[in-house]
Amino acid sequence: MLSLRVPTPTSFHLRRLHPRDIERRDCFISYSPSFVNRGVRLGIRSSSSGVAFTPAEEEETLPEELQPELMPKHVAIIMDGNGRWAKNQGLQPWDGHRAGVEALKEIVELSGKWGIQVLTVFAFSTDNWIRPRIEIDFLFSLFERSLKTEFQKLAKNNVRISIIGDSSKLPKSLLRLINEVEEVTKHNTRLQLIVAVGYSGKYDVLQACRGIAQRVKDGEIDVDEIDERLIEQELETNCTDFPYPDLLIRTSGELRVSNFLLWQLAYTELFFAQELWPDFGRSGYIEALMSFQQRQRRFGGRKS
Amino acid sequence: MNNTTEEVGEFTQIFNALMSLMRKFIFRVLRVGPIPTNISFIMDGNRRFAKKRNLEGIDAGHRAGFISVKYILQYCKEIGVPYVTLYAFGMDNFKRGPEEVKCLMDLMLEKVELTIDQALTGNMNGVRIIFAGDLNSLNERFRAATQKLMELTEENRDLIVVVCVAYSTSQEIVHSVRESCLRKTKFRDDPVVLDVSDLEDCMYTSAVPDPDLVIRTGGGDRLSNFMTWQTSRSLLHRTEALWPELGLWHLVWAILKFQRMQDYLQKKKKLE
Repeated sequence: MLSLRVPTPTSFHLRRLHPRDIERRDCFISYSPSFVNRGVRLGIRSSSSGVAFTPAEEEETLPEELQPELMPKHVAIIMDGNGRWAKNQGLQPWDGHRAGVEALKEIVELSGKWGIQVLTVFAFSTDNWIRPRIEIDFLFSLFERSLKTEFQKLAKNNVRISIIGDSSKLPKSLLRLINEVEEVTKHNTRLQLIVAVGYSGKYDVLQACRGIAQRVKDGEIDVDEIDERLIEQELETNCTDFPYPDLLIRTSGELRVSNFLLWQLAYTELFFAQELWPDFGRSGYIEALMSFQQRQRRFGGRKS
Repeated sequence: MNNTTEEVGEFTQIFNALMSLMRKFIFRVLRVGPIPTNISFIMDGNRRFAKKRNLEGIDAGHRAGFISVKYILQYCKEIGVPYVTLYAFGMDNFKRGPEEVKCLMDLMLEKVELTIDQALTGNMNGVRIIFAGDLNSLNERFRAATQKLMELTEENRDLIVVVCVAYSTSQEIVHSVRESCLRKTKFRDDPVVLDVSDLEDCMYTSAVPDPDLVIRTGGGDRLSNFMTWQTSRSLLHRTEALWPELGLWHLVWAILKFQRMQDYLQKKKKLE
């Protein structure tokens, strides 16, 4: 089974690559084992050697430990542990959040390169509103600044950004920025980054049910027409084609879901990482994905 | 010959008494810390157990699972856990082969009718059974049996067991919305379209508090559409042991873990 995934190269030529020659594979190919054994691979390179930065060269090959056909389509992450990380390092909480943003940038980049199609991150929960005002204000200004600086790069890398959650309590400048970012990136296709701000799973289900109840009250639909698909369409994750995460990662060792993505987590594989979020990085991500790939998913039925 | 059987009988009795004493001691130590109000079990791994032990019959693993249920309920009662929730059969399990589904249904019916007999002879030990799920999708005889058992055990208070049959959270939420809408149509002037309390009141599990601790056997690390609403803040504990292999020490270990996490949770709550 040979499938070829190729970014739009600026110029290319086909050549036969000997396995010894391949220091750096330039594009992503999935191949069957027998093909590998023959030692012949088709490669497409965007240009001859020496050019520093072209779109095709950004395609990093998947690490050896991961199998391309078993990659999850949708990964959700609860980015927990910034505060504790800062405390362990003897720093202030805001330094922890800044480190958390850096960690997120790395994970977003890796997700795009490794072919994950949707990445949902839990940035701010409805429960976090009880934190001190100064921390909340800092978090939102950090979010605004990060979005402004990263927005162009993400747009250029064909990343679509969506924000879900109760936006009514967010500062107006942030709301304006969010609308602009969503509008500009809405046609991007490589990776969809969904940031959950002011979000909770129960709130999402509740607002979906409210919408449906209103429609019933208005006579638009009948009570008997209410089914799972209708609720799914009303949830905030209707902004994506893959609303159900295949894998949920939570860092900092906490073994709970904490009201993140309730309906959508029905058959999601859960992975709890011991590291704190700023330490999570590439190695933690590979570990989580490897664990996912080894699991047998039955969705209530039976295998064999 | 008679002497040996009597001796054996006596020996078993002494052994059981010793075990019971040991458990009492362990549980007394456990009770020094907080005990979960509601423990829910995702009972996975019955068929793998049957395969492992080379047991004959489609329902062999599930029969072994039932023995495990009895022990676990007994331990929970001795520890003093007020509520236990069991994930017996999910809506998505109907996707399994028709032979297996029928076998499971027959087995569950057999056990329910056995428990009804127990209840009629006054041997329930204060255990109340509640069935949660879309009971209308079950066959007539099974549904009638579940109703009867619920009525017979309604007054018991020592341990309340919620058995989830034909259950899934997505179906539960759909059901809640429908029920709420039907109720609301009676009060057309009510400006509030739908509130959290409306939804939660109509859920199958509305009579019991949310689980504090979820124990999943069989090594899987997922919720399988089981009480994802009610367990959004619960501690999720998984074990590689298959359900029929779940024993006293697994339960004790899970509760100890819960107690350790509680300290951290309390500190976090105080900070906030």
